[in-house]
Amino acid sequence: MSQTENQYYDEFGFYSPQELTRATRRQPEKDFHTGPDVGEVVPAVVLPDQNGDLINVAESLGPNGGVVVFHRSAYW
Amino acid sequence: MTQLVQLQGIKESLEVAGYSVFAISNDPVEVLQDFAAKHDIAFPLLSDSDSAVIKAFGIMNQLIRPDEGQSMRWYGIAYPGTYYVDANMMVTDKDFHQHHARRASGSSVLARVLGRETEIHSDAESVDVSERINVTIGLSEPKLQLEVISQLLVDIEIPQGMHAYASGAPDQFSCLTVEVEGDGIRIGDVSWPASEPMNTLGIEEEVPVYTGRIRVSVPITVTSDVIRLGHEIPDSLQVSVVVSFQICDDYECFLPESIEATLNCALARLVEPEGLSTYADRVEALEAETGKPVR
Repeated sequence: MSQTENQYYDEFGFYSPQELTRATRRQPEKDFHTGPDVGEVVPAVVLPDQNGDLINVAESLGPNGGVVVFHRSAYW
Repeated sequence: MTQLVQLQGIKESLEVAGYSVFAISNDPVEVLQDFAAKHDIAFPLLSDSDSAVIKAFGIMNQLIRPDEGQSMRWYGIAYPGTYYVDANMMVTDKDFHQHHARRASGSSVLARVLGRETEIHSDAESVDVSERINVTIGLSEPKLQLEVISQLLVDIEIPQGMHAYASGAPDQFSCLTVEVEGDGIRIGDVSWPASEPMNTLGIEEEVPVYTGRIRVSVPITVTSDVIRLGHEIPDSLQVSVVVSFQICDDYECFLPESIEATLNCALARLVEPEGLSTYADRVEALEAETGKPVR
């Protein structure tokens, strides 16, 4: 595990100023929640986009649907 | 992050097929604005800054305490994953990963939406070996990236009138196998197409075989070993692929043999400490500007 002052790389090689023992840097346990299952309708999503415009996903889907990706952060 | 850039790369193909794409994180709008401008992202990067939507989906990472990692907005992050929804917001498919670092590649998202096979990317290096069988090896993405799961595709062409034995064939035959090795990579389970039953060489039971052209795919990702190996992060990795097989026609069998090939896989930039400090700086600047905590 490489480590210099305030620089830590975790087992995935991701940099963070946090120590490796902090909970955020640990691998989650086996059971973790993955939200609505196949066949269920997802909750409403109305959020501002990168331009500050409010987007209602239900109204912005393509004729066949869409892909909704949850990610850690744009910079990760 | 690289996943968003890959998604931008498949946006048009998704739209042609009638699908739109959205990305959600707890990043503040301003951080998303910076990122979108820098990487030409034209699909919605949605800011769930108080994690309300992440909580409504029930996918907030529960291991993080509210007081942990505030400078990097760790509290409130989602488990990373992808929902595929129809036009009525009903889930048709989903793909989740435990660790926040792991994610699906652009091409795998596209293949999943369109229900089609992943192809060898036109910008990726590929290797052809023509011996008793033809083998073509290549990657689904132009470059490998840290913890982004790409596919190593092995196309095998068995000459007409010949067959190769598939897993489940009796012990006297050598089954077709694909072995992948290399420093700094992690390999998932090899996925094989369905074999066909065949009556062969006076054996009473039917034997599973492959004929014609088959495609084998192997999930592959770069691990942080490439960082630990030394000080310089390489531009590419050598991945060695060994295809072992025994082929026969209706009358005779050749001896078992193998084909070995080395694929030179380009590596994308792996970690972006600069990106992360930009992020932390931006969060701090925002707080100073607005006088409100955005952490």
